[in-house]
Amino acid sequence: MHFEQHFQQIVNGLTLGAIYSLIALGYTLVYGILAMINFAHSEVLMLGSFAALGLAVFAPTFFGASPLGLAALFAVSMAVAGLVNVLVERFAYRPLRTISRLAPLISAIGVSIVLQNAVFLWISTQALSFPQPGVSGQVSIFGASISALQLVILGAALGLMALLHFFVEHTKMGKAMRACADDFATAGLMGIDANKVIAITFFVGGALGGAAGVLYGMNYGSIKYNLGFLPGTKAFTAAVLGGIGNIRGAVLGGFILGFLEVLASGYIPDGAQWRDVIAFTVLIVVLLVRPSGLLGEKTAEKV
Amino acid sequence: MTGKGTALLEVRDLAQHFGGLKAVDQVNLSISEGEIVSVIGPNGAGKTTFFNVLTGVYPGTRGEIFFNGMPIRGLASHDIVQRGVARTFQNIRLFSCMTALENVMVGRHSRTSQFLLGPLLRTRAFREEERAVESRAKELLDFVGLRVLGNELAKNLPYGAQRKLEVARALASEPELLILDEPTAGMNSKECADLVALVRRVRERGVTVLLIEHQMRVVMDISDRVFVFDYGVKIAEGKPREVVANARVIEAYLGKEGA
Repeated sequence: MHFEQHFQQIVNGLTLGAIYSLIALGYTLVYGILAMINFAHSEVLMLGSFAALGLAVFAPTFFGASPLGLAALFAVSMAVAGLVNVLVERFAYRPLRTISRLAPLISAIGVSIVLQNAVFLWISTQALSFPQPGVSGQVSIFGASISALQLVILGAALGLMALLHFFVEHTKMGKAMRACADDFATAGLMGIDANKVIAITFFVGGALGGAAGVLYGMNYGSIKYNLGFLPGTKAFTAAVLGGIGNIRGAVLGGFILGFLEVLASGYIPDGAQWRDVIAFTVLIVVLLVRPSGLLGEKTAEKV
Repeated sequence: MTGKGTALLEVRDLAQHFGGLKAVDQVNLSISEGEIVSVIGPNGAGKTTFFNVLTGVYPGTRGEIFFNGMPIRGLASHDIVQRGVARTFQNIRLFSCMTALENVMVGRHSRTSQFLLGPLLRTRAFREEERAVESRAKELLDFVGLRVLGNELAKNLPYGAQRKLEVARALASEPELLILDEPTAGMNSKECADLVALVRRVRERGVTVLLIEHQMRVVMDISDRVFVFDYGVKIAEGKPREVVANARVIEAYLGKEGA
């Protein structure tokens, strides 16, 4: 195999990994604060991609080829997905938060089914083709020709991760989020409105999921009501692999999983059929050795 | 500005029941601006529960709490902080994965305004506020004597320093009333003396202090007045000398004579 082909595989791994990472961040942010798995996150991601498709269909001139149009496409889809996530938290999780740890989890599964069926019944039962606004052709890097689309996906994902990093590390609200993740009750006693922080966390996580939905649509060229399930499950796996609740862990886990899949399908005979098996086997092995994930801290039981 | 002698905190007939357990019951007391007041009592007397009702952890079952004349019972914790009550904890509860400086900056949360747009657009107001928050946090670290440890993770600080950091974090919200839950627990005599000096300097900043304290030497040393709790009820109050001579207090601690 030539160098260019290896390089192409690396870029494939990075692209897939970047999408997984973005989704995984949504799981991990929520888990970090509420210690719950937001099973509806895969549907938030799906809704983000449908929001983008809606815009591209109803306002094709504005959301056409220009970079500005592309940015607007992302902004609107992220806002829609973020808002959906906030509403889901407000009406399906918050009322159950104090009842038991299991109740919001079940509610999340319910929301996931409701959202999926809503799109299935009201929008389309079939796959819809997703426009690829303004990005086409190949770019030559190190003699390998890489699709411009992949570079856009990678760039957008990395840019969003950098933005998230800045937000969490350097803003007041980011510090409040970390404080809540560290100790929920104490954060309240230090003047932080925990419900507000939770809402913002869901918005940020949902927005990242929405962006991932758009990238997913661009990458595969079509979207469907159930598109969230598989990447959602894998991104959840990635978050656990990296250490759920840990932001860097989610990114690391996402890229590892993306690479594993690409390597499996690119370098192992018949690997494409085996790639999920290989990826999940690695997950199981890692968890046997490090139950808290690669970057996860050992969890002390909170009093 | 209220003059000296006005009640900063007034508690009327306060109760917190858990099912049949009256953890706090029929508590009446008032604290004036600028006082240092201790709450003492045997284990399980309801002291920490009382503090938890004051700071909104528990809603309270009955009664009223007035802070600066405003009713605060049943408000959310963060609302009460906003109104000027801050606290520390019996078992230290710092944000362990954040630096000492960041802990203090979080304490300032309720006193700053920049929200989403400011940080995203890096507006001048946001940058100025961030700078102000940081310099104020550094000043508070300085005040409690931890300036050089600002960049250490809270969990890596020595025990005595963690206690002081909790005080700095609480002061960051600019409280009028600072509530300290066993600030000297587990401290050696040198650390104790440090903390007593710190509490005095906190008062000099114009902050009223209410603390739970078990070390009688500390209580006698710094308190203007003392409240004694037993079985959830306030059984005595007065100057430290008066209280230790009170027969009911001795009985609560040591049991009835001849019993």
